[in-house]
Amino acid sequence: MKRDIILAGVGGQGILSIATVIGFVVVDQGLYLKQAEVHGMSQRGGDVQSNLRISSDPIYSDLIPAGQADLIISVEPMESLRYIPFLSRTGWLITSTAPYVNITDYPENDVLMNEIRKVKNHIAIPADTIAKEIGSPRSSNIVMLGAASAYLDLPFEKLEEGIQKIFGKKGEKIVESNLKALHAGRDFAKSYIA
Amino acid sequence: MSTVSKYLQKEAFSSIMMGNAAIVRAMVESGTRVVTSYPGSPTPEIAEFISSIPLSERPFYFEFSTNEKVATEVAFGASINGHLSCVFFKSVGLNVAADTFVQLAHMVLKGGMIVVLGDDPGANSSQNEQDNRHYAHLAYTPVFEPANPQEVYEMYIKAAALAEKQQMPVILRLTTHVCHAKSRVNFGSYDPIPHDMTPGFDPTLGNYIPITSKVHPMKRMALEKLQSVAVEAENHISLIDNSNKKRGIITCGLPFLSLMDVLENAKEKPDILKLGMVHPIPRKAIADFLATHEEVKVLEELDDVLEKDIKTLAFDEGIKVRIIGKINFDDWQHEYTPEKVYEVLTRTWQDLLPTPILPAPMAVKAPARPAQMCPGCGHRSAFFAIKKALAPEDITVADIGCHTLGFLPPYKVGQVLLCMGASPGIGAGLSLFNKSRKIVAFMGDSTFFHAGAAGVINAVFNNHNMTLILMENGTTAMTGHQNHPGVGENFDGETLKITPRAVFESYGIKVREVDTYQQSRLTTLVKEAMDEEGFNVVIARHPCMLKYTRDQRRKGAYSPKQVQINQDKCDKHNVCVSSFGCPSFYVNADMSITVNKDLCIGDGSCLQTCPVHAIEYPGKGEVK
Repeated sequence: MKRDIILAGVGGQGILSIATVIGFVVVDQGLYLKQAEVHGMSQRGGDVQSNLRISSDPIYSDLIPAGQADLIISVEPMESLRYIPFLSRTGWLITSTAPYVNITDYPENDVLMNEIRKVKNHIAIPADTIAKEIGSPRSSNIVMLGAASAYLDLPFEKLEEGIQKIFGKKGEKIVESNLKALHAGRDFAKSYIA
Repeated sequence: MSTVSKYLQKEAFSSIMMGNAAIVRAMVESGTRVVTSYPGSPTPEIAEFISSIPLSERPFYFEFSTNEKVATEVAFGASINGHLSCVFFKSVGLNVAADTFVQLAHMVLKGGMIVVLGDDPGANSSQNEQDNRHYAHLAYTPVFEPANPQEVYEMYIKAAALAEKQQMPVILRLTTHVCHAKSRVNFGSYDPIPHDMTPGFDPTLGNYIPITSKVHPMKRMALEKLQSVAVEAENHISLIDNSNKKRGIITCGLPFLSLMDVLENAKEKPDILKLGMVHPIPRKAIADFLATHEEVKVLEELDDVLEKDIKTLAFDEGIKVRIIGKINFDDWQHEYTPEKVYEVLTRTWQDLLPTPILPAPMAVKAPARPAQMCPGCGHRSAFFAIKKALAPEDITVADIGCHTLGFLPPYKVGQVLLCMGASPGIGAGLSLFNKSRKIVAFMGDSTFFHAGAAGVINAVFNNHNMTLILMENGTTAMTGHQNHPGVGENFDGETLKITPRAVFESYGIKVREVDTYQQSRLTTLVKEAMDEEGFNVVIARHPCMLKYTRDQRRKGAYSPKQVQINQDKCDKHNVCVSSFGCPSFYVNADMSITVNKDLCIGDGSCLQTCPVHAIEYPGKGEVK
């Protein structure tokens, strides 16, 4: 088993929480893990990404070479564009459709979505809207994780356990809303590819 | 309920950790007594993990010193008093520490000392990508080079043992991706070693006063110790035998990891010799490796340090082998990621690796989201106001800090930058034979305490004609809000507060000071200072708003607040975007402005920038 995952987004969008939940499951399953954290300046609004490599065999580099990622989880559509060159031909792109516009040369929405649709295996998910609909607007990152869950090669119930473990400190309510977000994301992905 | 910090856990355990975290456990296990630092990427997280150990339980002393040189001196002093010590800082920090650092190996370091360097290939967050192995040669100091968090932990412990045994400094050289990579680390048990706390400095132990007559015996001792360590280097190698008599690769550190990845697809894998200690080199292991291969590639990040050592060795030993080092200048630059190593190896042996299957080039590229000052940043107000005081021909000198970003549009303030604290010196030079172009230099408060004071004193001493603007935000913002001497708090708690203003005034400097949110007042003060002869200082002060809002959130005192645009008043001047440049504003296709609610912190520093007062707080005026 081997999964090379690129997590992408903009500072403050919670990609590290996604990595933490996946990391919990990986450790629980006794798999190898390597993660490259990218630290920018301590500010919101910059592009952030993290490479996550999971395998049943030892892993050397923490960096995923171009054309080899099995999965890109991007909580922002333009950030997914930045990493599409890293995706393997059989890899999956799971991207949010909610743009985070803080630059003047942000591409037009249809140009952007057109590029995303060129990727054979993609799921474009309005994660922000779904998170709002289920009453937990701050869980859109976990909606994304739910949408990606089918492609992680990790047991879904372990992801649920990870969420309980990691958000447990913040109270039962937060756990509940994140579990809801995880399910909502998975359900959306199922209907998207159906 | 109290839980023992994992860094102090007695039993052996394993955990997923960053290199910067694993090193803290190694400090504890090896009995390090004194740790010092000055914050700088990629190493400042080490201090964050240290701070997670409660002060009362911390088995060693830690301080952020005022700069890397002082930090090195504190660690040196502790070591000659018998304590195993460690100093850590970023790559270019060694330039600041160099005057002290180059002396270390000449002295008997009674307790041993480890110098942890965070080198930055790729210059991710530094002004250059200097290869500090050169310094190790200059200073006769051995270097361990780990490749992953497990090795960071293990090699620190080995370096500590060597430093203690030989009573010498030992370098642990990390690089950005080694510091920040996370993976499982298997830790040993922790058995607190009883330590003799008696101040053990013994001036008869060796030469501690390097006068001419003593310099040569001191240098000889350093050389002898380094030579004896060369034997030790033979114990820190890994040989990967792929039964390839033709091709071999000698490598170390991060490039080794990338190499293993890239070679997965190779038809005939070369043999690999990985070095754990890169200075001095394990001569025997390398000589054997050279002698048993037809061609050997030296795969090393940045400069040709190993290459030169290995070529010299082959020459001295008369080994007939083709050694392939750096081929072109691309080989000297950037991090050796798997892609980079693919490129370097393909340049070396065209037939070695299959052509990777890459996706088709994309029609649209994602534009960069350049680093910018945060919403509410006092520096933004400062640059917006200061720009109004400058004539187009005036010269502005930048310094290191968040305020460096002032060089970007729309402000474009700051035209030259060297390194920490250099701006008053550069400004002084620019002011000579110069009657027509005024000089304005910038500096942060943390930088002033770090290495800026000498340049300021020089400007007073030699009566240079220039203006210095101290951008005072009350913290070391760019590296993660570490305290500095102007804060009134050190790593452990309250301490005397030294204000830059008091220091300037004690030098006899005329100081003007204003909060940067008072933009027009700041413009006036800067104009006044520039019009006066001699050296003048303006303190442009505002607390770092990122730190301020985080502190408020922590206290539960934060209430979200935002400005909004009164679209009836807005006449699409767009000063808020074109000149003030707050990222919370963006321009719609019809040139109207929208406020990004995720970004705006409602600080209101923008209100005064709008010529028609269209930026408002909700509830004021008729806003939809």
